[in-house]
Amino acid sequence: MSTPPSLLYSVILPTYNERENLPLIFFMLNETFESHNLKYEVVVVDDSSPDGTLEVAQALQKSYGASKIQIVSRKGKLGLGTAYIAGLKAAKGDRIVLMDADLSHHPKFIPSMIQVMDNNPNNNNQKIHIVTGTRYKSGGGVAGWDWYRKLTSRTANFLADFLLNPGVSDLTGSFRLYDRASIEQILPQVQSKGYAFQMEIIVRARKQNMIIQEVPITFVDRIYGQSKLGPREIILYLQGLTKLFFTT
Amino acid sequence: MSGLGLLRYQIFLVHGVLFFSIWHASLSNMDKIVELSPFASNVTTLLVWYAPVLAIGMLGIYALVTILYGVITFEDCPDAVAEIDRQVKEARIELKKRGIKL
Repeated sequence: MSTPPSLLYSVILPTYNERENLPLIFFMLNETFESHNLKYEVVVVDDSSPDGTLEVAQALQKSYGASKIQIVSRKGKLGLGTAYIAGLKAAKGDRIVLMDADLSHHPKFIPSMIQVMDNNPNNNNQKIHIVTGTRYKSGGGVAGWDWYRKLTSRTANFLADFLLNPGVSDLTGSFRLYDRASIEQILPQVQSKGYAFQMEIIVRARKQNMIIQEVPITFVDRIYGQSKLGPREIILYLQGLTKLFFTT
Repeated sequence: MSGLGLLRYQIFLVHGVLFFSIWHASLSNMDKIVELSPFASNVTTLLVWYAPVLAIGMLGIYALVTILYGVITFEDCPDAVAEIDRQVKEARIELKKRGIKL
């Protein structure tokens, strides 16, 4: 690994009712970063979860130390975009990891992302601003999806790809490594919600000539059984996509 | 496409206008096209007249093929579930040691 040893990585985890998953994902993040000798911190942004997520975050902080885990507590359920912005404000890292806190993303892919960010293959040593995880490329994939879910995912991605031409294979993915300056520049411009939020980040980054690379990742869908993909989600997605089509 | 600073819908509009300009010009010059075309005149005429429909049809076929191919080649990772479960067990042991209530 050619990372300069002094780089600090901030993992921003927005949480809402992740009382069970937070300690688990934190443990896995700690293992990953420690075993690769990387400096890190986790920034938990909790939107007043009623299930005690804040308390478990504080317990983790007490046990592992305040340098490893920061807590930003917000007064209500204020949404993902502002959660990331709040987390970014508190984060001290040179590089930022945004990912899901519900164990659908495995931290083990973070070192691969870091490796890609460091080993820029371009001859002129061009900086890589974003490394995004993709479920669609060989080496990546999903666990727990049936044909229907795969079909909706591919169709949604095709549509977004055709309309927005983002230059990445997985537009709605939410597991990414950002150079700090890049995410700080892009995030305030993003206005979408939901799936479109993740798409807008990539689309705007591309428009501003940022270099984006991809790394295959696995997505473990543990809550598919409780079906999050009804007609409402689909309509919201199409609305978000349409808005991006006309505003970017 | 970032160089021109066009929005996505504007790029589509440009392509659309271009396509329809060429189509309109073709319709206005049908005789010349039939003359140059390797196909029979009635076939050529049909092709030109229905060009927009054909274009959309081909796009639709491309979409279908791409999506179906994507679904068929969508990799499943059952090992990932086992791996997470294993690590969750590890995590619980360590967290219990640290006094974190799960």
